[in-house]
Amino acid sequence: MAKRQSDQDLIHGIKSGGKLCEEAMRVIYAQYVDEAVSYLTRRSFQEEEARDVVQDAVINLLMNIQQGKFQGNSSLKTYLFAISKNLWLRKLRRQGVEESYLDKQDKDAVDTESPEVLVMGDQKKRDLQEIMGNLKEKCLEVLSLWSQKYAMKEIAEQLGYMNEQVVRNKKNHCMKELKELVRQNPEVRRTIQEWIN
Amino acid sequence: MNEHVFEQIEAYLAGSMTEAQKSAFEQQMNSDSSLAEEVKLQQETHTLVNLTTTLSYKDKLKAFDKELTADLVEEAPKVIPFWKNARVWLAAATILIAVSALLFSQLRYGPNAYSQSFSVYQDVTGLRSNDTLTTFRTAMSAYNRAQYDIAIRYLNQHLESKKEDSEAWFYLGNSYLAQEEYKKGLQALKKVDPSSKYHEAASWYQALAYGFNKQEEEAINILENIKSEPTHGYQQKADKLLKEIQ
Repeated sequence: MAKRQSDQDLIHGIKSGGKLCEEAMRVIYAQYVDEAVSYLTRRSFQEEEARDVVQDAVINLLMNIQQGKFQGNSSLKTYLFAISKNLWLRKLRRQGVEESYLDKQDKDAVDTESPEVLVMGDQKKRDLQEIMGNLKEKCLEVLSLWSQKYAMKEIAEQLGYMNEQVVRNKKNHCMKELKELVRQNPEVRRTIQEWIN
Repeated sequence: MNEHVFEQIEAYLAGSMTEAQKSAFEQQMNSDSSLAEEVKLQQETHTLVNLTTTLSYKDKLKAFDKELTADLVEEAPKVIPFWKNARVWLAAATILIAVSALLFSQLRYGPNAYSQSFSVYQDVTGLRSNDTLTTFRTAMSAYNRAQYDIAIRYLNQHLESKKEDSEAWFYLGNSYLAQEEYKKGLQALKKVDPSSKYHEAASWYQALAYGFNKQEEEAINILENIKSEPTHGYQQKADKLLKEIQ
């Protein structure tokens, strides 16, 4: 089990990206999942469904911190619970629960953007994954680690490249290859544009 | 589009241009619609990579959740009065067997160069589309939780109907190596097609499998081949291992 860390350490880890970010994600989840799940199951969710919401909430929290949306006005725990509550309300709305009930519950939810990719339809997810699947394994690894904000040095060490410059060249080469695949696939471009907008 | 323009766009999207460079670049975009279109396309490509990474975060959290649940099962006996619960004895025996197996495996591995170079191939991307066959998804889920015996069972089941699936052969080979079944690991890795994206990694693991199996000459041949290919993803590792064993 991961050990308890201060909010400051966790925020630093998330902003640093790479291994530190992944470790912070695990620590936050391990520290708060039980309480958050019990919070949601008291409000009508089944346990499995509640765990799913908490996982989405942790990813949301990560993205908000990385994008500078979290101002540090509350503890991470309070913030995570507020996001969980917000995602729970969104889910109830989608299920057609009455607005009057939702309004009563709404008071401490955080106005947070949900990472829509998590609620994206299966066909769209498949399209995105399929286009990535055209790349070679090494490209997928480099791009995946790069987008998780791993430093070039970390990527070189993890994947066995000679130095940072080799990784930089490889990343550019893979990005170009992917760009050409995106150029040839208007359907995927539409899905991405919808997400950006 | 030339390399310079591509790198300029990367710098612009990464926010690493100076204010003056950024302003000049934006002016250029305003007067050149084809450049503006390239920037848009490159930004969409970045977004695609980030979206798929977010999907993989979700997979990682799901896998981690399973690990945590398993931890809780193992921790449970600590809070239940053990003399009142027969399951505690079973759990204690399971833990004892697991710890003994771990110690035994460490003794068997020994501090040789091959075992120091070996770590199971990480399924870094963690992406599996929903239409992937259930047996393969289950296998990979077990693999990512280091439950290699279960992964082997499901991968073999999957390969009965998908004999050409290099990805499955590759992970089967790795699972066998993790279970110290080197001959079976080698047989599986040899089935990875040379045109597959796993081919480079499969060569590296074949070399290790030969090494574990005391077939040093075969191991060295493969490592030399890897070393001689400048673009091979495992060139540096092969070079390092060769220095250690020769």
